[in-house]
Amino acid sequence: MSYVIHELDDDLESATDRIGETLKEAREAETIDKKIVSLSTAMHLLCAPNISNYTLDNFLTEMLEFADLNDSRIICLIIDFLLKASAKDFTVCNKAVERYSFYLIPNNQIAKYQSVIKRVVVASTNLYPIILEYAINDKDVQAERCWEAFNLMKSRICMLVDNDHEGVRTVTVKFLEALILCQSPKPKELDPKSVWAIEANTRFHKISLTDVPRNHRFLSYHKAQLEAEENFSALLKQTSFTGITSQNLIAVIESLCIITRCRPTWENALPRVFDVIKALHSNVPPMLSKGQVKFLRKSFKYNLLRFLKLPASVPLQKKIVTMLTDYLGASSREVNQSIPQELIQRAAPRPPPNMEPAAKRAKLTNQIFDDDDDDDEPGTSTTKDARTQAIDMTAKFILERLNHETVLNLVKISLYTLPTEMPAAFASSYTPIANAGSEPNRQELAELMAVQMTNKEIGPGYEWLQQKKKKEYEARNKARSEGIAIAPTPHHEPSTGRMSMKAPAPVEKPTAVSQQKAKKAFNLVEETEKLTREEAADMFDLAFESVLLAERRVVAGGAKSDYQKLVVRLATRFWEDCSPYEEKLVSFVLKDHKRRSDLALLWLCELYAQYQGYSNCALRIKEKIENNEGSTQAQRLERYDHAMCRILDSMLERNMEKETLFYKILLETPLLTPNATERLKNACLAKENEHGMSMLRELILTRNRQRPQLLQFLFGLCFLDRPDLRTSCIDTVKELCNLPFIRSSLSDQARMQITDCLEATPPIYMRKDQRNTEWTEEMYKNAFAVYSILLPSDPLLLAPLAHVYSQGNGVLKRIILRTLEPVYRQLSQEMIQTLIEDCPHGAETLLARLVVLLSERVMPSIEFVQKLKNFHDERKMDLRALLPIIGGLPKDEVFRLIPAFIFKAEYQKNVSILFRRIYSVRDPNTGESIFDPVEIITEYHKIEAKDDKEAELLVKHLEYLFDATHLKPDIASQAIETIFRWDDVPFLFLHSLYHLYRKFKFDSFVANLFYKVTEKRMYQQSERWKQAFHTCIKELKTKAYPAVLCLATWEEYEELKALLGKEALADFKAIYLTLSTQQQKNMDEKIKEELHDKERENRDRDRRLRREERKEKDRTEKERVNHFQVARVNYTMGWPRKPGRTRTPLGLSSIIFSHFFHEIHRNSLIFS
Amino acid sequence: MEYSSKIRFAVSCSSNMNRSMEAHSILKKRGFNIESYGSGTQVKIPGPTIDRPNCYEFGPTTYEDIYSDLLKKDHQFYLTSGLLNMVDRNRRIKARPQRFQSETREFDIVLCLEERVFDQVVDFLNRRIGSTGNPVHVINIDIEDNPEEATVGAFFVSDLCAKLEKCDDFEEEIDQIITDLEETNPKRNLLHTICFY
Repeated sequence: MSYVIHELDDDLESATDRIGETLKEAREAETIDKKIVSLSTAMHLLCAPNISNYTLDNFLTEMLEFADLNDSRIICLIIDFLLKASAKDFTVCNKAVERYSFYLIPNNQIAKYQSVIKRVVVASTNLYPIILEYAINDKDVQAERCWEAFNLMKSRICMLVDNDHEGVRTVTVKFLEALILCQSPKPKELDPKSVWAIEANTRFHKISLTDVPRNHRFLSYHKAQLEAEENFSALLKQTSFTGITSQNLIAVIESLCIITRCRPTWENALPRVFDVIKALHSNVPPMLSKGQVKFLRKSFKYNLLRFLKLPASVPLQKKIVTMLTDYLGASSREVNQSIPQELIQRAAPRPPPNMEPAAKRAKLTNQIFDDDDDDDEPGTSTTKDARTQAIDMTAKFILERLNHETVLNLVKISLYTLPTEMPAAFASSYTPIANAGSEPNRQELAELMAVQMTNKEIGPGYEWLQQKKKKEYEARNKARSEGIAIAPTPHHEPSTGRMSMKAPAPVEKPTAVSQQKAKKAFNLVEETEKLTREEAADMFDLAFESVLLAERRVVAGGAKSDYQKLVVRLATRFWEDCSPYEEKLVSFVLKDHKRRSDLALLWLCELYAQYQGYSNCALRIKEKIENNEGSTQAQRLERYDHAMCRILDSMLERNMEKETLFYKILLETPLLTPNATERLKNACLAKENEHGMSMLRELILTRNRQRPQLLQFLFGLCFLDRPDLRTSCIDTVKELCNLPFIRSSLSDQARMQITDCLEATPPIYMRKDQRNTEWTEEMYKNAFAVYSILLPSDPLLLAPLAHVYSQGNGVLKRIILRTLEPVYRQLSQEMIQTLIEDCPHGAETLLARLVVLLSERVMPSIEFVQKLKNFHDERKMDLRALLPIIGGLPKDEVFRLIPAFIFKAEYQKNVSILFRRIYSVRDPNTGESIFDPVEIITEYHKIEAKDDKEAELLVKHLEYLFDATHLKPDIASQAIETIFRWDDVPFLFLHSLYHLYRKFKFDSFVANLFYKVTEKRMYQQSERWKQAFHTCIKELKTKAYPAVLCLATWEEYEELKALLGKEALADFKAIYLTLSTQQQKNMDEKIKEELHDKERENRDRDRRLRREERKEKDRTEKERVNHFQVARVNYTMGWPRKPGRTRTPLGLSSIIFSHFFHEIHRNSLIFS
Repeated sequence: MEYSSKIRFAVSCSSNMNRSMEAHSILKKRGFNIESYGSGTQVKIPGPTIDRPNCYEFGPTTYEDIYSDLLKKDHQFYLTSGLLNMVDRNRRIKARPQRFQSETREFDIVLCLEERVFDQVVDFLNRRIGSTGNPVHVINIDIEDNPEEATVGAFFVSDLCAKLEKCDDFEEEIDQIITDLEETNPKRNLLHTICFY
């Protein structure tokens, strides 16, 4: 096993190596042809099944780089490569769509670029099912982005159908074919083994709209289908353009025929395409040459023969066969061979209805219905029969006269109308009729002419028909005048008070007519008796139920739509209180809701028609209303609403809200009532609410008229206490706001919602608890949830927000400022500029905040700054509003602003921000500071304080002026030196000095300057100066003391001493000791005297004297001992000892003392 | 080559023996990108009598096989009728007769030399399940199935191909070229359609 894996790894490695080598060859190849050969090999290797997606991804960029060679053939190869790679790995789709979109842009620089565009369209045609599959399977953001990008490209490709280039137009038609097939539902009844399945087998059969789930997050089923329908209609229209070329016409026809074979019943495709073929056949475009017309006919024949294989063609079979045999030259053998066995049987004389095959059932309409005993609409069948009879009559009339003489006359007359030149189409469409002049031919001709004549309302048949109708009408009137109730006509009589009491049953005996004699001929009117109300109601009940039960049989007979109409009319028109029937109808529908959804919709449509007064029934109601009887329009609306809610409620009770019927009722009924929307709410509030939200989204997309209400409903969901629901609402809004046609409604609704925030009490939809009439922060926050999504992309939404802000209370203002802050960060300069131009009074603070946030991201433009400045001046706004744009203001303006900020109490807190901004604002182009800090510092020192308070403020804010985080030490020192050089140095200078010392630790620099200031006796200028001098000394302490000691007078010294306290004296003395002798000499004598330490001098002198005494004493002692020892040695050994080697207790103590003394001395030095 | 700068032509008659091979020969000499095919079910060439044609299977049979078979059957007869020379020419162009319906390669233009062949080709292209969706133009030019007409017809085909090859974009002009040819050569039964792979 491991061996096999190794082998596989080796294979992969060698394949990767080969790809690398091939790409290298492609790079190094000298000619395009050689490059193409190598690239082609690389493409096949990369897209081979054994190559991993990882390897493909690795080489993808390398392959795509070859497109930069700007050769159309290489680009075509890259296009093909991207297609193959997308099929292999869905994640490449994004890249493919991006590249294809780029290649669609015409590029005259590249020779034969049309071939690239064609290749893109062809590749996109193949990419279509791949991307659809990707979007269905991977519902993630990538897939969504890919689908959106593809949709954009799709619309660009669709526009190519009018391109000047023939080839581009042709491939675009094929693209439309793919679009229609992918976005239309696959027939459910398609048996994979049938002949039809073989006919319908195209490269797009794998995926279709049927595979798109209804609740897909970003694929709208409805929209996709609508798009397909529109494109199908557009393709059909293409055939009628007179200027269409043969090549395009053939492509369109082939595409239409393929669509028909795959989706014969969708959008009534088969009959519509057949009509198109017929129309084209009789009216061939004039530009076509003989050969082209010949091929066109060939194509018609070929496609019609293929149509015969489709079960859906059975109703049209006769027409198709006639067209084939009579006009397109097909032999009967060919035709018969084309019709599958099972379809031939269907075309044969009709078996009893319950034996009908399924395919035919759906197609056959009134014929079977009429033949059955259900003659509810006798008028229709009579009229139809009468018309057929009329045609027969005229045909007979013509046939009798269709002799040689008449025909000859007709030919002679027609000769006058012949064109001078033979049309090109004639020769090719002319088919000699084999049996001309024979009886069947005469018969056929007579019938054809009879149809035309009857349509033109001429001929004996038509006259007879008119007479007949007249007679019937008179008879009916006569019967009515005699008091006979006539059964409902095919154009359905409405239910009325009287009618509702009676059965609709045909005839009612006139009250005056008594029992007839037996010998009299049978007379229906006379033989019938009037039913009692109960009897009539019972019969009606039974009739209704039996109609309901007959469904299977009727549908089998192909009269489903008539059946549905009947059921709906019975259930809605005949009684004042139809609820029992409607109840039955609802349970009947729900028993098999999948098949009976149309019935439910028809029922609701009928009720809507009655409400609007469209249905005949309603006309009668109208009459009644005039006589103050019957229901009013409001009552009828209530009835419609009630019916809709009833069926929705029944579905909700049975947990059927995910069924198609629920969706259809909401989506396809003519009007969605507010109560029905409440039912949708249930689906949206469910735990798994994806389906509900998807329905709501579809409703918003499709129901234009009710969009505002639906949007309000959607927005209202945000206020419920469900964070997940809020998230899904917001997601839905995000999706919707990408659609341009919804966008304005969304914005309007969002605008209304925030305007609601100005109400005194919260609107009901915002309240969690209906009793709560107080605004809460949460309500406000929720009200802005949707607005915050729309705001960044819609410039028009800012003004309403400002308006609400200006009118709102404090809480609302705070919410608007805080909650929406992330959104404000996304707003562009232009949007804010628009607001400056149109800012409501009271929204200045909002504007100021917006400007602050904007200036954090970008440097405002000059125009912006100017506008804001003007606005500021005009509204006399808070100066702080200018802070964000301070970089755009002229220097003088800024200099003027500084004192304002410093002296005004309300701006005090912003002084630090002011200096921070001044120091940090930089030119966006050069990156250099806009304002020179030296200049700012010097300007600050020029500010004159009018009073002490101002002076105090000036001093206080020096703290921010010398902001160590933004100001460099050298700049600060440079500025302070500049100020010192002024003739008139301000008192602030001394304050600045100690600030500098504190912030930048300038020791000697500060001490030096202070010395100079003291030397010049500047502090004597004023009291303010003096105070500054004292403060400075206090702050600088030892750095200022030398200057003070050297330069101050005794009085000043005394004053300072008092100011600084007793502790200062010690410092003074210490400093005094460090002064040079010269300095000490120049000092004030008194000061010197005071600082001179007499005690210490005395102490030192005492110590010296003691030391000398001790030394003297030691010496005496030593001498005495020496003397004694010498004497002793002499006495004991006769040898004297060396005096230096003698150690006595006294000698030890003197060493210790000496050491101790040294220590004391050293400490005293340190201390001094 | 799939990404060739030249138009990819295919020419097809019924058996890939006479008309298509004559055209193949001439077009190849003139430097076109050309392949030839037959669209019938078998390779059929005249036999000793009209009702006894020589039939071979498409695919395994080579021109060499046919040549040897004819030599074996009646050397003198087939030499006189010119068939041996024809097969000899064919075997010098390619190895074996090819059936159009068995080919997977894609072409830009397929030239059919008989209406029946045209119908078969169009039918085949329309019935197959599409793959790439690339367009292919199918043109019919009637040529009688005899050596002389085949040569005349091959020159006609060659002229048409030259006109198409000369175009900047043949799709733009093909309609006009065929309509013009149709007017001057009404008997050639020129038909034109577009199909998709």
